[in-house]
Amino acid sequence: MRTWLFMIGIVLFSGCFETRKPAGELLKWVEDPDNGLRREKAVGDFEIIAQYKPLSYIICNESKNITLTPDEYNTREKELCGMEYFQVRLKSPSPDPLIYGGGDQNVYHMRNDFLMFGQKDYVYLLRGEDTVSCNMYHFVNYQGLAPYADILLGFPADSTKLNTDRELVYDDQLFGLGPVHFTFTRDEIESVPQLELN
Amino acid sequence: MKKRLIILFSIQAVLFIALGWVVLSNSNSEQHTAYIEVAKVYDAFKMKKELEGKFTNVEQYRKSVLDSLELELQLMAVTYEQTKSEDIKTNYLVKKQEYLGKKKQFEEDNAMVSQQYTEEIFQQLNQYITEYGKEHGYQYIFGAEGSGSLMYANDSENITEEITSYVNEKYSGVN
Repeated sequence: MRTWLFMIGIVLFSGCFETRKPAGELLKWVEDPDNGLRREKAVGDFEIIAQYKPLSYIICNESKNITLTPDEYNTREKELCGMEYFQVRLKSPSPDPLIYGGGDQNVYHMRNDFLMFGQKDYVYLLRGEDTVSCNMYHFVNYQGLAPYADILLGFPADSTKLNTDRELVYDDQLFGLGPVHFTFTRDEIESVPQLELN
Repeated sequence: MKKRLIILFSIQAVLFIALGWVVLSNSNSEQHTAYIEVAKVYDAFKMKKELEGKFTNVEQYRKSVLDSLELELQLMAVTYEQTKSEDIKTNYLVKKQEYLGKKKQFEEDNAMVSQQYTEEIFQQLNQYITEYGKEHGYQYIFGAEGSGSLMYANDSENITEEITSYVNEKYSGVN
């Protein structure tokens, strides 16, 4: 009798912590700063926002309103796995970060070129004792349509370092901000709810 | 007579309330003032240590480049002393120009990088101290730097340690 009660207790207990969310809710959950996967930092006039992007979050974002089958989901997940994904957003008070502080066309192009090709060497991930360079780097210039610019990042995943915190370092070379650190703890990364599939 | 007494009492009550309010508001503002030892906070700031390490590496690398050139120059000078060759003398002068040019360039670059790092450090440090002040409801946080701008402050108002751990946590991006 006691064993049965114990078993039922465990099932009920684990049920309380089972977190499965539909796509829309999952996206909101990941983007909610309270859950620790989105970190915002103000430095000078700039706001730097770092977003950890779990695979389920990327897949949900890609599929938009299309409901994925488990097979479709798994196929895409296999394509994406092997990397850890992040996004860094540079938000400035000017209509476009590339024209922050004035400057002519030359300054604009110099900054654009640097963010496209040069900044890659100044972004890295601290994982345990390792310093990992990014394998995937993509700068998104919104051409003045938004007061921010995004950088999409991918770092090689290491299955032996899953139980460590991740510290993303964006070492700014353009706006005098210096290195900006964002820490995502292991617990926060592991607490991502699973996607509810049909 | 009664009326007078009532008026007197009312005035006294109003004065008493006003006085109490002034005293309370003063004591509140005192509670929300603190000071930090700027040099201590700066020295213990992780960003400062990180950039200092970076700067030292660059400086050492540059020094090693200059040392190699200097050694080469010394060897050339010795060879010239022995041979009195005009070719070696010409090469020596060219090398010396290169050495002096590099030395000047490195010195300028070092000064520029050092200044840039200092500005970046203070930019983040000021930001985090401002955030600390706002979060904890301080009206003023004074910086004691030994220059005489803050002549005396009670030790109980010293929040150097709290600020140091706060700015380091903020810098690491933990919260």
